[in-house]
Amino acid sequence: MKMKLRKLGILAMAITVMASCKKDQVIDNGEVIVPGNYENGYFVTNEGNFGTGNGSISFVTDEGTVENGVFESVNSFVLGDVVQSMSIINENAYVLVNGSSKIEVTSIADMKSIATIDVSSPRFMSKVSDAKAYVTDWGINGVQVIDLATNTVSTTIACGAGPEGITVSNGFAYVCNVGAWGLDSTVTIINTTTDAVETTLTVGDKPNSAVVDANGAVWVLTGGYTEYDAAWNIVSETAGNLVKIVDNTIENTYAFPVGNHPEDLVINDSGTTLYYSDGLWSKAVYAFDISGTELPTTALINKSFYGLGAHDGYVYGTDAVDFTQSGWSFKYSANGIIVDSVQVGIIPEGYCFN
Amino acid sequence: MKKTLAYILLFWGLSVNSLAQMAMDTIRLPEIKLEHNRLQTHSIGTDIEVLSPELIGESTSQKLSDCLANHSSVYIKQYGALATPTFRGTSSSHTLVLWNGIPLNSIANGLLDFSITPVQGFEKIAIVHGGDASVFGSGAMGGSIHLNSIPDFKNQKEIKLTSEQGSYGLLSQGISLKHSTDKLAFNLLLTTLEDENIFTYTNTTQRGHPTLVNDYGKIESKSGKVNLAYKYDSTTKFAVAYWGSANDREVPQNMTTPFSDAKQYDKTNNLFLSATHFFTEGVITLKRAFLEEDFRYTEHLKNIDSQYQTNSNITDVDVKINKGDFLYNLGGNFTKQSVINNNYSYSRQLEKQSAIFSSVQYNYDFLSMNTVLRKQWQTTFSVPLIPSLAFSADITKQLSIRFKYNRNFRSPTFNDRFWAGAGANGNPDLTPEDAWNKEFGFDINAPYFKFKATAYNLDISDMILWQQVDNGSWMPNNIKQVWSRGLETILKINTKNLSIIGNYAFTKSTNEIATDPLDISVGKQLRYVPFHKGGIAFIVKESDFSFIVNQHYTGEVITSHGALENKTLPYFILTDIAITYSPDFIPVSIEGKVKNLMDKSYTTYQNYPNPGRELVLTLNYTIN
Repeated sequence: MKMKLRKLGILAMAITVMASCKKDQVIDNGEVIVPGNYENGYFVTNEGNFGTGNGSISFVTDEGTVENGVFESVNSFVLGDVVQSMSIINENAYVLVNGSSKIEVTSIADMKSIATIDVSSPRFMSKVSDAKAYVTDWGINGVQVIDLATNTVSTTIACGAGPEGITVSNGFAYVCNVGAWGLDSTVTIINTTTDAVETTLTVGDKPNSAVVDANGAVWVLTGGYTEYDAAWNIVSETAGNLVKIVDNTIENTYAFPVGNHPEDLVINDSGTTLYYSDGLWSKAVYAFDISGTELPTTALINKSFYGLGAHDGYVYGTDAVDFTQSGWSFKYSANGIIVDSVQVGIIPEGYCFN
Repeated sequence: MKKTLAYILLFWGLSVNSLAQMAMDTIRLPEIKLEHNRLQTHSIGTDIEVLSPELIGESTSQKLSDCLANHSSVYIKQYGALATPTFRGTSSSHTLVLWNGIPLNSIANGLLDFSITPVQGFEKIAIVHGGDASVFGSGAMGGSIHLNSIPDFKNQKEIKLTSEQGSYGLLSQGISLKHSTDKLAFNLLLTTLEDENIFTYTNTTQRGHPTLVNDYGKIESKSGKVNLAYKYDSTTKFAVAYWGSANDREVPQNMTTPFSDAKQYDKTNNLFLSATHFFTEGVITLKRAFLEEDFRYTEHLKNIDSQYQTNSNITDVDVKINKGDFLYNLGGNFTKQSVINNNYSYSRQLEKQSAIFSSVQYNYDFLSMNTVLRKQWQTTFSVPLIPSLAFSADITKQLSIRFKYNRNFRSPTFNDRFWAGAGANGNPDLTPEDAWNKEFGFDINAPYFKFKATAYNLDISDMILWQQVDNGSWMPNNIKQVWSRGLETILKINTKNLSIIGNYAFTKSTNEIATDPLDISVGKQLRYVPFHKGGIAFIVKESDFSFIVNQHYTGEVITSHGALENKTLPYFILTDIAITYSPDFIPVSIEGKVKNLMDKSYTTYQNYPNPGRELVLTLNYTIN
């Protein structure tokens, strides 16, 4: 989700440049801010307990005050089971609820529900044009194409197994096929104009997230794969990779040590620094400059997070505590100094920045 | 081990000697009644509640979960296919269920599913509030349920055919045979049950709160129980019992989820053999039991296929010797257990455990006392010495008081220790959970009026908690501490035609330690433990009719903790009624029951709906 968010920022910039923003939108530092109750802050998606249907969204203001349960507080029903991610597209928020097999569409101004789109097992969403967006969906091993005018599924595009992270650059969508409960090692590249698969790249085992940098290059993070035998002994293990894709070909691959399973690739607003979680046993957050030539060995933040975000010069991480009580969101400066922390909902997993 | 044995002997020696000294100054009492049943023997100081036959009724579809939820202060969580109890604010695996004294809880996960445990086919169902692990072993921390199936020799003949229908697609048939002479007692119960479980409910989690049909929750059950007791002579008897069951279920998801393909299959085969021999001053009982459990849960949409098979081979010997006012009880238990699980690293895990327990019981005028010590040896971890001390005193003819102070434990399950896989691993270094229980109560036993109240204080430490470690995988550790305290009361009034049975429990069960630096649940009530639960049943018997009204209240429960506010489920009050007509002139009885008479919408687990008003008709044809 975070990557899509970043991409959101870039799209927003593009929209601004084209002066296509609507009258009631405010231009601030090159980004489109949609006015309403939720303009000065960020959202945290809280998965909720699997199988319980208590997923939610928290809104944290720039001053650090929190409003939890922002969806159910204005709607007479709940989001549902496993709130996977949230994206803001045009003036709407799209909340992907994995276990409940739906996308809740709300007005970003007041979070009031506008529509519900039935899908199968939605993961992440990315806008590809003013008219449509792509949603990765494990249930169909492909992408659901959402018509943004009608908030319906117009068509589907077959990808690899367990399509997870997605990002869009220069007319192409890059879908990380994480393999669902098994193994896949590919990124499906889709021409966003024709909705046709352009090509499929093998990037390394279990690609989980992707972002676009300031130059339009796509960065994909793969987690690596551990193969077990029937008695759950490890048979083999592959390394995770950070892969740079330029012009739909792999330009560089940076391999992590075998046994590490890096995840949660996000990028700062200017598209110059990548952040991700990595570590053999205890995970930490690392920063990687897009002009860098080797993976960093020193962590930026020595803490294991359940989900990561980056926005407006800050890095964010979530802590799900014991997975039953309300979790927390931590805010750090770009150089890894803690700024504040707030209590959010149950199992906070992702961020959505307005 | 030598030291432990020495301690046991020392403890025994001291108690026997000092009590013998006390005894010398007193008049002798009638001899203590010899009971081969271990529960009865160790009832001193214990809060035991025997489920009234009227409340159990004749229904073949009645489950232990319904019975406890409706007629006791025990909180039952019902979600998906599973119903589990909460005794005295403890968790699901802290209740031990015993069948003729043999533990039935799954050795894989420590649980027994009360939603597939029927209440028919037992001679007696007793609920023990409070831990009794010194006598019954691991798991009896919050409470225990005793299902006794061995028939008495009471010269009885009966064939009973039962047919039952319910308004949500329930269809159940049963045949029961009972035949007993003064030498041989036999009973058999075969039941089949099919419940479509199709009911409508208001989906409060969806836009517009639509009324929807729950159509995924079908249950198919088959169960057979055979019990045989044979009196060889006036001093020796043998018993054999078999209980087999097969349950296939569709497992519904929470109401925010549009569909489910989850299925669960449970099969059990339990065989019990016992020999009891009375001699001049005592009784010796030898028990053997063979338990098999076959479990499978599939959810293809989520790529889940979890299977395990467990086997337990139990030998239990119990000797009681009555010397004057003293009753000495020495018991030994040897158990071999194995689990084959597709999530264990070595596919099959085997374990042996042995235990001895010893007790001295003494009656001194109005005072009774029971001391117990248990020591268990296990191949992979050590179990501490488990003592128990209990007193009861008859203050007047109708008023008695009781006190109990005991230690309880729960061994880590096979899953806790041997689970392996991507994302979760058992911890082979786990040790047993440890609990100290103090309780004090009084009982009023007047001819038409009985009242009992018990206050307790339970400290649990080293509780096993599965946590996510820094690399994202899950692992259990002995880190949780819980303090539970509360008050339980039971009231029974019996007149010629009217019985009133009431119960109420106040439970405060709090987390006592932060398991994470950010844990804000310390000092707060545990999740899914109501502060208040109570109920009252009126049973009226008039000629051929009996009429029962039962109403029970379940207080608010917390579903998740927050710094500013907790998420909760609201309280609810449910009412059930039942009318039974048993005319003398034909061998037929008809019971009509309305569950949830007021058609209340309620839930005991977040977002899992329960049926509204349900009519169940039970027809019995009995030949004596």
